[in-house]
Amino acid sequence: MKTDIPSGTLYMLVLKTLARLGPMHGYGIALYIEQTTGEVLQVEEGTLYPALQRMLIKAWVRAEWRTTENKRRARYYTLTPAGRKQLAAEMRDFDRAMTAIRQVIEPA
Amino acid sequence: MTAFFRKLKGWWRRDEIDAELQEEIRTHFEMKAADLADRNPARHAAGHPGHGGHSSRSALVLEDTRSVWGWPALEALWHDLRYGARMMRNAPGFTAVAVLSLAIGIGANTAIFSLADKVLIRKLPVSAPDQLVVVSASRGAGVSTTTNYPDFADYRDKNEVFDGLVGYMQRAMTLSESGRAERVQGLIVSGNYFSVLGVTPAVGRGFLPEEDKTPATHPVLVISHGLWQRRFGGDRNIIGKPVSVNGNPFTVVGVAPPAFNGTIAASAPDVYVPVMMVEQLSTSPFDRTNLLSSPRSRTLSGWLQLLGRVKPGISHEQAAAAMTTLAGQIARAYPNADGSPRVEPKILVEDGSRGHTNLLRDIKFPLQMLMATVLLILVIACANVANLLLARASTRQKEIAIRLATGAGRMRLIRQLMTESLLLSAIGGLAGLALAASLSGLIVGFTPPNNNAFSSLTLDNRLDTRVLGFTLAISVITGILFGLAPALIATRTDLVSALRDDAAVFGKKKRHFNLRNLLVVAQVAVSVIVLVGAGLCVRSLRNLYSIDTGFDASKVLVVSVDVGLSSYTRERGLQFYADLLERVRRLPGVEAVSLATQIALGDGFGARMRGDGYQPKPGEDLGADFNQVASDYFQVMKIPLLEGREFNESDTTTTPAVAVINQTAARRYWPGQSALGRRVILGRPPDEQPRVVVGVVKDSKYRRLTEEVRPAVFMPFLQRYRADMTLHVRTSGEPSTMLAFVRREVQALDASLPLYNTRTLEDQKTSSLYTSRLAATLLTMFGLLALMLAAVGLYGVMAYMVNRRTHEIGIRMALGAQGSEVRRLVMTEGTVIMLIGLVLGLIGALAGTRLVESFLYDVRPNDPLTFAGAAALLVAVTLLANYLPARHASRTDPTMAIRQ
Repeated sequence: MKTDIPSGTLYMLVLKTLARLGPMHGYGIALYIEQTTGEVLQVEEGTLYPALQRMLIKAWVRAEWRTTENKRRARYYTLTPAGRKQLAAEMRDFDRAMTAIRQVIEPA
Repeated sequence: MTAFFRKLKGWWRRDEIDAELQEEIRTHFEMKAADLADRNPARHAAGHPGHGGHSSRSALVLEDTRSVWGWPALEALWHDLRYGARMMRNAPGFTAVAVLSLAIGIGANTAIFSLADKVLIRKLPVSAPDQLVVVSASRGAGVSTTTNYPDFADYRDKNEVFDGLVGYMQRAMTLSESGRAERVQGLIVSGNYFSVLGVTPAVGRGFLPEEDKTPATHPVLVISHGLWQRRFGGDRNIIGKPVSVNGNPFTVVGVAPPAFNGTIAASAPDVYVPVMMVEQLSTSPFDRTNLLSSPRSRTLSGWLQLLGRVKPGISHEQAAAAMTTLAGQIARAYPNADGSPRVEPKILVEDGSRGHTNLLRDIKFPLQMLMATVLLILVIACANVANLLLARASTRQKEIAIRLATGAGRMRLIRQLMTESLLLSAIGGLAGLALAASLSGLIVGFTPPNNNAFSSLTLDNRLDTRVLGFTLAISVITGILFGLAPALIATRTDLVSALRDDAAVFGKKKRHFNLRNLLVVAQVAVSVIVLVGAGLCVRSLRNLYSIDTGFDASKVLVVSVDVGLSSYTRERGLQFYADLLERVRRLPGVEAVSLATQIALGDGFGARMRGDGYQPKPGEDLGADFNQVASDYFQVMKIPLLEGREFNESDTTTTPAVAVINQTAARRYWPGQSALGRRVILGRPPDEQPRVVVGVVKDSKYRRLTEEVRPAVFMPFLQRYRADMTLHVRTSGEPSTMLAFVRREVQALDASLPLYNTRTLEDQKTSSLYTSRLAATLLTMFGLLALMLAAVGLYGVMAYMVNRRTHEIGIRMALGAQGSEVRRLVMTEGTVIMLIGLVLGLIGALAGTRLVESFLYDVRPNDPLTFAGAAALLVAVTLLANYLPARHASRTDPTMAIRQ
């Protein structure tokens, strides 16, 4: 079964993916997230690319054109120091939220 | 670099970004397709159904991604503006009427505001103007509230309530430099003037403390920025430049900042001179020794106007009380020369943030009246445009309904309609600015030329940034005002019936109709009020013109000369004037010529006078109008001599002191008897001066047309010399053509003397009525504009109604109704609207015109003739506005109308 990405976590997922993989193009990012989650999380193109552009504007990532192994030209995104800081902040917030949610839904 | 600027930069390379995105997304789908093909070659070969969908998917993704770089609010605004402009182009008639209405409304407001701002609203460009107070010394009714120098110096140094007290006097002066003389406005100021006001000269410096200590030792002056530009071309080497003022050498030490125009509202001094130089600048021999430090200087009447800066925390009342106590102590410490006590003045302290505003006394009320009127005009204009928009909204109902039906949000549509309104008001505002500029010129054309040598009302009509800001604000406000209601109503459309394109019949769309009719009722009512106001002012002005002045103003030229400017002695001055009279008398076309110090209907001059032996009651006003005149004055003025004789060449300093008095004075002091040979006593102890009455003349108007005539006394010039006199020339032809000849005669005697106050007595009379003329002319103009706007409004509503009901009218006619019946049907509806508006307007006018009663001369604010006239004019114009659509309706072709 496929699930949409929980709202507000897309930036974190993309940033984390870039942190793991290093420079990567949009398709690669989407593929990585889907495969890593056993295809539970589905990344829609219509969500991914606007998010990448917003991250570019906010300077969390850098973009450059490179050639893929299959000799295609693709735009590769790289994490910037600001993006790294943002990732840390988002993960901290996410952890705190998850802990809080668990306290509500799990029996004590 | 912030995200905002990165985005802004992106806008410049938006094509490049677009291309990159396209490629990126295409690549994405290609990679995805390739992966799918690898995993499931069979399906791919069979033609994956989703494959063809990629291009439309990718277009959607591209659209969403691209929008991240967009400016949605701005793009929507741009779209709305372009759409609005297209709508306006498609309805040129509507656009023209709307823009014209708005231009009239906004233009009238801008013009009046630009004047009111400078006259009534704006504060002095000095530091902390709110701390400034006008300080005046009240010594009873009709007595000057100014202060002499020694008293001022004591007030300045001994008070504990002011952080500074300045004194000044306005005076015309002759400035010459490089052989070129010109008459300029001067302000004689205490040395602390610039420092207390906190005004820093643009170039050079203000006055130093030592320049304020000893009379006549520091001939320095500060010039205005205007004079610096006009006369010296903004030369920065002006500091230290020698100039001559009234024949005395002075040195320029500073240039005032450009925004600073002294502290007397509506006047603009060209030069500022320290008070210590006042005696040198005086043109009267007496003043040359008696203004600053002689024993007489303290008991003379005052001449300085005072402006103080109150200490923080001190109220106006506290300051007034403290100053009254101080002024009393000083008056008691320095009695009159004969030991009699001096009047102890009551010191008044009033807001001085706008400086001294006496010159604005007369224009303040008409200006407030005009401000109220132009606001009403704006309301009418807004109602007009709102009405037009409502009419258009119903013709656009289908368009709006389609847009709503296809998913446009109501807010989005309201925004679209509001954008159109604001676009209209912006264009109207621009056109209004152009209108305002010419209207301002007209207004300033009404103001009098220099009313006398010492004061001048200078109205500044330039449109500055404050005015532009006002116009912008008022345009936006009107845009919202007239646009909002139509936008709300238009978008509340019932989709189904709008799309079905119902024809309006009785009972349908009642709500819209009511609002539109209400707007027209309001327009009619407001224009009635403005018309009545205009009518009253016109009647009042006619009455003012028909006042008997008691003299004949036609064919008299007046020209002022001041030989004090060339430092003439008394003897030389007398000789000059004798020569001048002789020369002018010999000019062809001159019937009679004389001299006087006061020009009739000018500022006038008061003196204390009583009949010898007359015991005044306590507190009785002994003020009299006063003039020094040469022989033949009454002949020139055609003021009838009732008894005795005029002055002649034999009334000199060696013969008995004589006077001519008016009828009112003769009746008051010697009722039922002849005043000839009696004595009048002028002045107050110890300077009383008896004079023998040799003539009695008929009363005439001295200071203003509306004055109650009071006693007047005339003295012969040969016995009471003055350096500045005004030549009065009665001519047989057009008096103004004589000016060039008179000028030649003056210059033949002394080429360096400037002429001033050059005008005809007729002009003098006209300009003395300038506030009434201003109000009557502008109100009439505004009244007609209001009427025109209301007529357009009524026409619009009726024409629209006829248009909407064409179908119904066609049926009626097909069933046998005559054209005349249809006409009556339409006329009745319009007449009802008009009558309701008329009645409301008359009631409003009845209440409103009571406020202007004090401004009217010999017209009651409920003058029936004016009310009837305004009503008749309104009925005539609105009937026409009503008749045109009615006639159109009556010519409806039934077959065409029903088929519609």
